[in-house]
Amino acid sequence: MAFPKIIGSETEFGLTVQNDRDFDSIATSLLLVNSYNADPSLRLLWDYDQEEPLVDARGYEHDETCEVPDQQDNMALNKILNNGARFYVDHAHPEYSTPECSNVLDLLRYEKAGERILNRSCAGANQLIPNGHTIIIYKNNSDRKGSSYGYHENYLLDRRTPFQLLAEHLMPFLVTRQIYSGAGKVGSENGADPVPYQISQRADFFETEMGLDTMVKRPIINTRDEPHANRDRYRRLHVIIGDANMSEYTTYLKVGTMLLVLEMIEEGFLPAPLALRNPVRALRDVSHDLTCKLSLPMRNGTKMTAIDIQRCFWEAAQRYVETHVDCHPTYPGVVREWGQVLDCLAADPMDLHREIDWVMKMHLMRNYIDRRGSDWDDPRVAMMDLQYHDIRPEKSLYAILERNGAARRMLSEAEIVHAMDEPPEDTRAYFRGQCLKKFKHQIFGVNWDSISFNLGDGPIKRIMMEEPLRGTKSHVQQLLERSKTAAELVENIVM
Amino acid sequence: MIVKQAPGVTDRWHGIVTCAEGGQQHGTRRSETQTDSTTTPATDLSEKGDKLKDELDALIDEIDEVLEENAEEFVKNYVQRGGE
Repeated sequence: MAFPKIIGSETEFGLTVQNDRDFDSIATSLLLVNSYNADPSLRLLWDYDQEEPLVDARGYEHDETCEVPDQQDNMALNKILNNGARFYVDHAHPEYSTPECSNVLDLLRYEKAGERILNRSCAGANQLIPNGHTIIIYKNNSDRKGSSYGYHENYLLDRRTPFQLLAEHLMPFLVTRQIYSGAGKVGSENGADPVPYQISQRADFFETEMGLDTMVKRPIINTRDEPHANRDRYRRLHVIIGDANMSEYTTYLKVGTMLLVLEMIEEGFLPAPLALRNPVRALRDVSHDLTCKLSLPMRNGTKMTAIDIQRCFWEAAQRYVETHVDCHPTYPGVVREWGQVLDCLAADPMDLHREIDWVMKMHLMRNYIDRRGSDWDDPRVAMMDLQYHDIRPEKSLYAILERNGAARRMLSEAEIVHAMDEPPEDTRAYFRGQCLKKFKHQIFGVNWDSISFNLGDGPIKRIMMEEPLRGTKSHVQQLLERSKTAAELVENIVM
Repeated sequence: MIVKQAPGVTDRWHGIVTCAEGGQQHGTRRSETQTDSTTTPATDLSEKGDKLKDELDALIDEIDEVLEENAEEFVKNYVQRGGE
């Protein structure tokens, strides 16, 4: 039986300051990160001691330098939130990492809560900048001028599953899943052939099949091997190829299908891997084909469309949920929706104008172009391409669709708001979040797999959390209740 | 080999006590998928078509109202540094 899959997502947001062409993106990111529930009495550090970003899943370690900020910068750059998430400055972008989640719907809740958190911090930050200037945040992945910023998914896997096997199955899956997970983009970049509109924000930027890089020579399969958990038991698959999605339904399908495919790989349930002849080329070609009917050359000499390839995975998933009645309760729903979406894509992708981001945005633009007698080169269409991803409810074109009942929802607003301040109850994020609520002034440092306390006298006490399924509510609630102080908590754990 | 540069924090990390957590593993929580069903009966297709067209017209008008002014300039100035 496969391990339960612990998952999380990291979103880097795009940033601009209206009426301030010379704005400093690093300073603005810092201002944002420090404007959410700002509490100057807190002295929390991100514990870089625990990080090993240069270990490669192919079995070696890269010989480079990792810079670690000094203590003052560390506190300014990193915020750890009550919901167990990390909100921080990554290069020149504000970034939000969800807490560890045990299922696709929780992941969706915490990712959407992140957008609300960014909005709130933005409202605070806008009070602190000159009148007439406005910070605007976008959940997208490209400035359409050749710069891309990421959306990364993380999946905790059984260390015993060979990485090569994972890579072979995931290559055709990740190349083709964009037909239902792309966020859509006007035009092309990075030397790709010109197109009026394409399926993915990110496809033009991927240049190699496998590697450790994330900023140059971007690989379809990322080999970072940093589990943030017990290294002997787990590996963390770091997926860098996805688009950040606005649509709840699209995120649900993107992550839900991935969970199923990973579990089928771990269980040895999939038939022999399908091999594309040229995955990097196929990635771009699929993104540029709005009909989803393009035939892709396979290594065995045959041809398959993206839908054909996805159907192979879907058929296996259908058999998997039928034969595994004890599988995760969210899986049958994912399989049902996945099958319906593939049918719609085969019939007419435009039927998905309430569900899938790239179709939703294109549908809106086509109708705009029709009614206003304009074309794909109209600057207002380029503006729509950007403003669809604006996270402010009053300005976001996606939010307008949602308000008009033109976006298929998966969550209620109340559960998103709840996720802004409450950690998930069934992963170690619960322990982190509750400690932050209860003992915030005694916490010295945090990482995904540890939390350290400064008890005033003696050494810093670091609590290791190498098992992501421990530290749950049912596991530690009593411990937290009977520990009135951080010192008592540490004592109760050690005893 | 990873070389960490100038870790201002490191000194204070010396002498830490490492304690593993005990306790048993618990199962995952059940979550329900919400699906919405907003299908309308297709009694009068042309009436329905007119309604959809009116709704889209209103949506496009709303978009024109919220779209940032000086779209060309705005989009030109949206330049990001690479991330990740």
